[in-house]
Amino acid sequence: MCLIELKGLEKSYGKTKAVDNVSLQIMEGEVFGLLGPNGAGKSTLISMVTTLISPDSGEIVIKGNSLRKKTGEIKKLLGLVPQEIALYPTLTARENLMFWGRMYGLGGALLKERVEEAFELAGLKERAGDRIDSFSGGMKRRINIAAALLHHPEILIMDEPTVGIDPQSRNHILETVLKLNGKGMTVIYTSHYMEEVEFLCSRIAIMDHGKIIAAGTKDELRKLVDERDIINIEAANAGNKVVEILKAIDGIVNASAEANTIKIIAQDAETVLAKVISTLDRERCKVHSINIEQTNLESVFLHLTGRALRD
Amino acid sequence: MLLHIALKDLKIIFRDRQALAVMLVMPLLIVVILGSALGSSFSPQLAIQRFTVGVVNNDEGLMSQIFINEVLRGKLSDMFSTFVIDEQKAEEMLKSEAAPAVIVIPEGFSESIENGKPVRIDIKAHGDSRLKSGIVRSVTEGFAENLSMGYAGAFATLDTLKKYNIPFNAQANGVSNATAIMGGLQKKLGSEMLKFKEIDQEKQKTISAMSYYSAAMLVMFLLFGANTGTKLIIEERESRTLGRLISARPGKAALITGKFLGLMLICFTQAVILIIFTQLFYGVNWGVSLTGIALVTLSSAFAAAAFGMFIAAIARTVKVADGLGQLFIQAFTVIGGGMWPIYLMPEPVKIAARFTLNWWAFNGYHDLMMGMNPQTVLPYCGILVLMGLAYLSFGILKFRV
Repeated sequence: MCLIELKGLEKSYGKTKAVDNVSLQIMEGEVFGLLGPNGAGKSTLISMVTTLISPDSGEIVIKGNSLRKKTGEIKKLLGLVPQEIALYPTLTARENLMFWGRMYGLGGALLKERVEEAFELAGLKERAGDRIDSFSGGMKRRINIAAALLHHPEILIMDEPTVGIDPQSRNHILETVLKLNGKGMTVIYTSHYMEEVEFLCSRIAIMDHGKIIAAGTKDELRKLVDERDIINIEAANAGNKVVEILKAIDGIVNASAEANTIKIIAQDAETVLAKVISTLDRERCKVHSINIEQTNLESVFLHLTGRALRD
Repeated sequence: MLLHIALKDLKIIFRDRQALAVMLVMPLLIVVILGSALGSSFSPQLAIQRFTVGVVNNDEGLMSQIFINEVLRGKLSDMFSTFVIDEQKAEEMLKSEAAPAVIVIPEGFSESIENGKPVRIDIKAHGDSRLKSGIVRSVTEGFAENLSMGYAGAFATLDTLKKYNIPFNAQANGVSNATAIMGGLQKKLGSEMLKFKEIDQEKQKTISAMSYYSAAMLVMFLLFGANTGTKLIIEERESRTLGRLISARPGKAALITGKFLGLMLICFTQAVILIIFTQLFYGVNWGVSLTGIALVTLSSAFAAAAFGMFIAAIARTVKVADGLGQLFIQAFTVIGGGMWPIYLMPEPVKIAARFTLNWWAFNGYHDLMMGMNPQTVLPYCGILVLMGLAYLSFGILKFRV
């Protein structure tokens, strides 16, 4: 059943179109991934769904109701985890959660109960009385998420919730998302970390320059690159000039370079590998390692845009 | 919900040691420094040198003569240089600032007093000489009050004499019985009858440097307090906390109201702490009217909070808000008489001062320190609220999350 429907959403800032004619459907109970590089328009899209900004045109329908017409009712269904740590650093974790609970209309015994529940979920009960500014980045992120869950929303919207945290906290967050989804919560998860989206989401939309350039299940997206191979090469002096030469090799679909890593999408890795190595040798790029992998979302993005996801 | 937003802001500010130092410790230190360094600017001689008072006497009766000759030109001749003039000359004197105030004694003044009727003496004052015109008003009201009271006593005496059939007739001497008794009382009591509020006036000729700077710094640091709250709003905007608040239950209107209330609460609490501290430890007399102090403090907190919303609307970052806040507040304070007494300032600055929040708020406190009643400060409070509304309108219109 369709829970959220975005119809022709547009938002511009001056001459820049941050969101350009976006239409999407998000089903009840799914984890929907919104993947794209920084500046792709994901946060703007999220801001429109969470009523922070109004679209220039288009409509958002949630549970059959227009967000514009029934803002108050729909807000009760939403829980927002912003990309930033939207907490008060000089207040304790408990004071923060109590405050956010009140902002979601909770009070009395129910509020206290929900705050305890949120601490359980965040795994930070023993730090409840400590100030947020004494927490590590990962712990702050976990409280940031807990604050959005106090009112038991039907839809959890997470905007890059794992930016800048340690692997342990990241794993905790990813497990939490799966746990919440297991309980029936619909999750919209935006990230530029391909692995996270690939791990969590059943359906994914890829955004670039304000547009949805592809949407579907992981398998549907992989099919867009025809099961092609990805060759990751770590090499010294890997620059744009080398990439252009590689692109001209027969059998190479696309190529890009970031830092000292060259990423190549090829129809068949074995066929082109010899030519790639001899080209790199000729261009004095000393090869340190070569890794061949199956098609993933990163290669889909590369295939669709000609750029790596983290460009 | 609004109150929770406001109280949360207050809690955050009062946990911030740096903010507390700016809002509470700094003003108390500066009051001591300026109060000691510039205390000589506040000597009574400088504050009120002998000045000219015009009297338009439409009465020509005995009581007005007593007031002019025995009070103004008699006991208070060291304070006033008194000229009896006509209405036209009075206007000219006021216009040219030759006299800060003109006393207009109405027709039938003496007759009304002698018949025990209520009387009123009008004071026309030049707007910039509030201190001097305040003294004239106080002396005049004191005279009228005491005379009315004296006559009330005289009438009571006559009634008593009549009740016991004791004959009393002084009209053969050309004065009424009541006036004769008043004359007698005056002879017996000597100058006590005409003391009025003179003693109070001596005390209130001017406020001390410590009091002056307590009021001036209170106003200046109220604005700094509001600016500290403003920076908090901008930090919340940068961390998307404001956005998160809007995505929760409160809408934009509730959020703006909550933030404004928070700023007002911060300013009001700060003012109350500073007033109590300076009264207890610096011996500052903030006046006798608690209502007056509450009115001026509330309207000042309102205006300061609105100023904070204005800065929050125009500044995009905390750094910009800090810079803009400091620039505005310091300029307002210097122009508004917060650093040097306004009567020492050149005329253009005196005019510009009226466009600052500081001038109106400071004068409200100043008048209360001078012993004025709450009604006197109502115009200042009104202007502060109007200025606040102007700032607030801009702040609301340009509020960003």
